[in-house]
Amino acid sequence: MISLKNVVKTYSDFQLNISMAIPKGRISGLVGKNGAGKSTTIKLILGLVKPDSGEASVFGTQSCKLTIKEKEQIGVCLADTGFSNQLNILDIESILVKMYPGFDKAYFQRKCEELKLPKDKIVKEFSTGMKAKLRVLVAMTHKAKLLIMDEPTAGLDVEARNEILDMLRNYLEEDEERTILISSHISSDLENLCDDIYLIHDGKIILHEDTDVILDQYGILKVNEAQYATLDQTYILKSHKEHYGYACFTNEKKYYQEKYPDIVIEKGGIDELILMMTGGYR
Amino acid sequence: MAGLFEKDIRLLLRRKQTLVLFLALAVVIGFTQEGTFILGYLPFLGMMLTISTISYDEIDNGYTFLMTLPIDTKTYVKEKYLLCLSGTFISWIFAVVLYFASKFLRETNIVIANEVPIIVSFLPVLLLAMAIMIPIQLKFGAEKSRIVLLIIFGITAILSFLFEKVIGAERINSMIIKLDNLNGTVIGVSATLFVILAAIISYVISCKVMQNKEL
Repeated sequence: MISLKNVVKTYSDFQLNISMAIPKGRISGLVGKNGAGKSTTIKLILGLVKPDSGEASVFGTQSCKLTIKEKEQIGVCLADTGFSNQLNILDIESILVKMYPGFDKAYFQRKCEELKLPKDKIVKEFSTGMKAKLRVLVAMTHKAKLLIMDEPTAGLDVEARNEILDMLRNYLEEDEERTILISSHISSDLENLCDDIYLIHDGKIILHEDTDVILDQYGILKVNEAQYATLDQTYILKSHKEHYGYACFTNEKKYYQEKYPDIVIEKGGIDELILMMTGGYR
Repeated sequence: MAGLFEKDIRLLLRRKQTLVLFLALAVVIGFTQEGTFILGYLPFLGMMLTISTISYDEIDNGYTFLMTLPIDTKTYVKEKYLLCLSGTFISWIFAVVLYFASKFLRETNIVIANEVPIIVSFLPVLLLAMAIMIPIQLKFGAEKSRIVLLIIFGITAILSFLFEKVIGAERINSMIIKLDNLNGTVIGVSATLFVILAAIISYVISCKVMQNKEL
């Protein structure tokens, strides 16, 4: 469905060098710190920026050459942009009717009511949560085969985030062949939604793993200096010096649980994954 | 393209107050000012109004989102030219109606055939202005394009001044007299061809500008 082969994009102060492949029916998460390259990756996939080298493709077509028919099969939600904030819901509905042959007007209207999006107010007067819900709804209402969402839940409270995640879950339940690529730095959103996670750091994918594997097998070993000196380093991905000794990130939690029953081992979620692998663990 | 038209028309309708003000001003000017001022003024406002939809697209990274919709850069550019042409033409028609209404109130004997060349002569000038303004607006955005236009007009003024100094006022006058003596049809056809060529070049430049935009 999505393929990035050795895609390189260079800016004056940043270089992205990335490869990834997302098959049909997969929900993939793209995580990383701010400025790691998540948005640039999404723009490359959508053909909004051209790679300096390598190949970005969607549905087997080069991203920069996506046809209008293929674009009709993609729903996009970008973090900081959407339809003009001078328009209201009725305006946007009329535009989408003419833009997408597959636009489901009844679904759009029903969802607007459920999400309490006012029809007569212009988007500029919406709250942050309302704007985010509208962006997600706009991406979903034409029954796209592929959803690409850049930080759809950023800056939202728990209730609004849950509403958006529920919308995405329902969307997937309707058709199992639908594919989603979602970028976020809110780990709990991705842990409950994604099949696999790509971790991006300084423009490179430094880890790609199934979410279940991360949650089951990854962990943080908290060891003192003496324990660290004798610790088997075979499955230690990263270690950080801490005030108590060392925090060691492993992808074989059970191996260490069995071999070193005295060592404190904490669960390794996506937050820990980001922090340990990108050097920000405290 | 229908979706883009819908978007732009709805954005224009958001400025109902401006539209009503423009029309009221046009009616007042049409009936109080003698001459052809209204024929240039109103279509120019119409053109500016439609071109201003580009700046709506530009705000809040709007281009980035628009290009994720099922359109491509060529469709976007085509829609802008068609919208601008339609806006200019509709306001030109309105200006012509006001022009005649005002004339009928003032004069009794009006020969419409004599008026047609004057009225039509505004169209190529307006289209030329459109051909210059759209690519500049697309390339430089709402704010910078004003400065660029000022620079262009400044350079044109300086070149005209230098041209007059080099060639001499007498020669220019004789050239104008020669042009006046040319057949009206020749002038009309030449102007039409020139404007069509300018519009094609403008469209190609606009497409290139949009294709090279990093979103």
